Amino acid sequence: MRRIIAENPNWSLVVVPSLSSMCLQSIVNNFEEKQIFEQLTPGQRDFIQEGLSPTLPLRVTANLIPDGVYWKRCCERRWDLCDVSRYGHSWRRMFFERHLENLIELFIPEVTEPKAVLDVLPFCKSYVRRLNVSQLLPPIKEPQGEKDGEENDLDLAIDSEHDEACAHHFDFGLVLRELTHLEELALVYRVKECGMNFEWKMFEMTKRDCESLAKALKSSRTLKLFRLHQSNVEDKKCRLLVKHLLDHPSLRELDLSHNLIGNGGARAIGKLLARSKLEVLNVCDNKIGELGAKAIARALSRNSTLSSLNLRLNLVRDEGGAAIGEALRSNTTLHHLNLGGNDMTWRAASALSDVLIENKTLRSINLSCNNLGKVGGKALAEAMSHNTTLTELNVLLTEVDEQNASFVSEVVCANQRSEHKKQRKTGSIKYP
Amino acid sequence: KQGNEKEVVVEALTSCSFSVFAFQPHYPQKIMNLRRDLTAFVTDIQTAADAKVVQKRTQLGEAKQKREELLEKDVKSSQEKFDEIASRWLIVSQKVILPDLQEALNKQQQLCAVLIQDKKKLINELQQELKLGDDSYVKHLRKNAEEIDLMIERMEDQIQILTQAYREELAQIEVRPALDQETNDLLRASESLRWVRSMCLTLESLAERRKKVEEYEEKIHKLRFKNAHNTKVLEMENNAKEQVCPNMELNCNNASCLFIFSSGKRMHIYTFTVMTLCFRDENNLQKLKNLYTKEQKEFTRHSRKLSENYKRQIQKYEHFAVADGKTFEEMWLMTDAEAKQLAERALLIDSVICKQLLGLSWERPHLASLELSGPSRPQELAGNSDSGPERQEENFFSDTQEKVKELLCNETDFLVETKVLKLLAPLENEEQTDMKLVTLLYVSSYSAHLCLFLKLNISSTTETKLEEERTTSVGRFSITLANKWFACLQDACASSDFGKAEETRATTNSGPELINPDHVLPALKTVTCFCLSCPSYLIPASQRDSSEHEAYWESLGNVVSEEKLKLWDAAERNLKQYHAVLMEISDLTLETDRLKQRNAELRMQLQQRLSSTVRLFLLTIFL
Repeated sequence: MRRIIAENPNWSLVVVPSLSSMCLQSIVNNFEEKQIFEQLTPGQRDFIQEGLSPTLPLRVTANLIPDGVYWKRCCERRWDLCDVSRYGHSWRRMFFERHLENLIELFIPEVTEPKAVLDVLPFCKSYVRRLNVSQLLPPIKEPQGEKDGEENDLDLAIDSEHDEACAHHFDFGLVLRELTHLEELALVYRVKECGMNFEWKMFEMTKRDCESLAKALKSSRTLKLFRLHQSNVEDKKCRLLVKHLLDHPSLRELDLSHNLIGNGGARAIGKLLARSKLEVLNVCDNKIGELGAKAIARALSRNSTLSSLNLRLNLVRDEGGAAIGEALRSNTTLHHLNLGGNDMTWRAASALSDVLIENKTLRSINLSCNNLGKVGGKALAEAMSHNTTLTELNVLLTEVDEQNASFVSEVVCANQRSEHKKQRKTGSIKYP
Repeated sequence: KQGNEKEVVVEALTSCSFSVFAFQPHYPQKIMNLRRDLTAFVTDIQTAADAKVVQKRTQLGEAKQKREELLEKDVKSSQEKFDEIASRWLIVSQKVILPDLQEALNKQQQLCAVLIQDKKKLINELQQELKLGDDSYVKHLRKNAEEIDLMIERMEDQIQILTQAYREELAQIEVRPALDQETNDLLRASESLRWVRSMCLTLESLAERRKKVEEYEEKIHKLRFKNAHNTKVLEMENNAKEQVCPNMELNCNNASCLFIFSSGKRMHIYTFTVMTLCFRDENNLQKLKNLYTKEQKEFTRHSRKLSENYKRQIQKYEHFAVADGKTFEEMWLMTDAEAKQLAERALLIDSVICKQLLGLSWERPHLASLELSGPSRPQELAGNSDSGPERQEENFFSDTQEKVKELLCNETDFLVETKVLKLLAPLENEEQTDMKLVTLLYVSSYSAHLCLFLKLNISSTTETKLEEERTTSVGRFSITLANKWFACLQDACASSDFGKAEETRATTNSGPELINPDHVLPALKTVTCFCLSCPSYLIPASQRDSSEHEAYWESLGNVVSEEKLKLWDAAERNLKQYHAVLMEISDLTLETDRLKQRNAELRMQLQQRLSSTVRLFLLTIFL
């Protein structure tokens, strides 16, 4: 008998794989051709999930392999940071969401085939719940750039029109229609790490972009949250978006912060508040003035769904503040109000403090970075002595004298404690 | 724009911190304070950033306003200058003389240059401002970055502090259950003790109660008895009174009526109790009856089984008997043949001896036995008459026998106990009758004698010997007995001069109506008397058969008589002598033969020697 052991000193029986493991290995190797994954026992499935190559085409793996080790491997192979808790503890969801985000972020209009994205959608659609697109590339126009460089000075109108015609970004209409489980959409029309190629155009959406986006939003029946940051959204575009979002069946949260929305846009938003079920509205860091604030206040007095309103860093001023305060008299749903950095004075403060005595639904108010002064502080302190529901009142950097500020914080603390006790009694888990 | 990015970052961080802090609803005061303070720290930063943004905005606004003013001023001044230049162009166009024109043109040129210079200056200024703005933006960015780093650091510290606090809280929570458990155990122990105590108390009270209940029951019982007794006594008294003084009854009617009514009531109660008792007894009886019937059924089943078993046994024995009979017959024949052969040979030898040895005339002795053969022979010897009609008669006889037996049994049923009858019920008819007979015999006063006779009978029967030897069972026993009995009866009927008996005889022969049932008993009596008076009669004929056999075998053994034997002995003796003489003779003849041979040999030798000597002599002579 020939002994192989003698010839190879490193040989041992332990090294020899068992037939079953070899079979499983061959299943792993030929996974794409023959799919017998469903006929295997759970233990064998685990083995296959451990050994399967992450480069397999998605059409094979997407619906076949359950959430777990395989998708974890896929994710960790592609991205360094993988916080699965942000994706509902589902590795598969994380993979598909991020995969789709990557595809959209690297989509170059007129260069990349739309098919590249559309092909993935059938596999993604049942897993993608949130899309967080952090950049949208503009189309490349190198030949034009050189040619039009000289003409630029001469014929601005034509150039801008031409740009308008061609410089639109990725069309979301294709995607949103397909994704039947999408609940959150966050977009930013910008280019990351543009370096010295900076152009203002990279950081704004065109009119056509806006139109297509608005239509896409309308077509999505499951969307709950829409966020559009830092995209130079002006009144016109805001109006366009709002027009299509009116009577949306599922939208609950709208975030248009860090844009250029003025009074016209604010009026449109006021209309939206009246004709939707919005619960959270965030329009911070915009250019909403007194008129816009008044429009929003009007809508607020009739609205019965909104629970949080953020008007931070706008130009609401005293008139707008007073209007919002007036609206809060008849409103019984708003819990959180942010009017920080709105160039308000003691007048608005006194108007709001009048409301604080009556209103029993407000939980938190932020009035920081307003020049309220001593008078305003006194009015607020007086109002707080009658209030038992407010658990947060931010009067930092408002030139309120220390005595009143400390009194306000004391009352707030007391309210917090009572609230806490109440929560413990009822056992409800509700916290900002 | 500057503040925006920082703004966004700060927001992200705060939201992060919020998400860290906002996951547990129940904390103690300390944690709550910590949380509030720490988040306040972050929100403070945010508001600070907001304030900065606002400040920046106002600054930008101011700068813009300044710039606008500056530009406006510049526009105004340049407009003035341009107007001046334009007005001068009119003057220039009016000039005709070349040097003047040249001068004016120069002037114009100078003015334009000044204007352009002004513009350039403005542009430079603006450019410088822009550069400054850029620089400040970059600086701002750096500062923001530094601040963000610092903030992240602080937040990390905060997170650490908070985690520590949470850990402490957790430890406390972990410690608390242990304490709780201890207290719980203590509580449980005390509780269980109390429970046990209360249980004991309740048990005691229950026992007392039971005792009391028993006592009361006894008392009630006694009272009842007393009452019953009283009422009886009263009743008796009443009766007595009624009997003694009916007049009084009328007087006492009302009073006694009441009493009677009450007593009647009581009586009713007692009767009720008695009834219940009776009912219970009846129930018991019913039960017993059921049990009895069940037992009976079982017993009958059992007996049937036994009887079946018995029948099978009998069959077996019969089979054995037949087989044994056959073998016996064969053996008989064989031995008989052998014996006859031997006898024949003996006779042959005898004849030879007589004729040849003694010279006497031999005649064959007359032996009948030698001519006959087989075991049937003795039977025939025993039998009185011809077999043919006798057999038929016997058959008929057995039939009648059966019938008579039955009759006998049925008639004498009253003698047999009903119990026995019942027990016999499952058996077959024949067996039943047999059993009845046996019991009858036992019951009757002659049982002792009969038994004796029975034994005798059994021991002596040769006719059914082969069978009887094996069938010791009572059934077969009784059959033979009955047979004998019947024979006796018939004989008795025949022998006695009873007219009725004659009749019986006649009816026996004629048909099924054998004996008048009325005559059975007297006949029986006579028979038994007869039996007792002459037991020898009952000795069967078959016994004689054995003597016959003996004689037969004896005769076979005595084929050669004593005289003949003596003769034979003498002859043998003579023959032996003769034989000895003959032997001697033969010996002698042998010797003579040998001697003759020797003689011949010696003669031969002599001749040879003689011849040789002669030849030698002749040779010597010739030589």
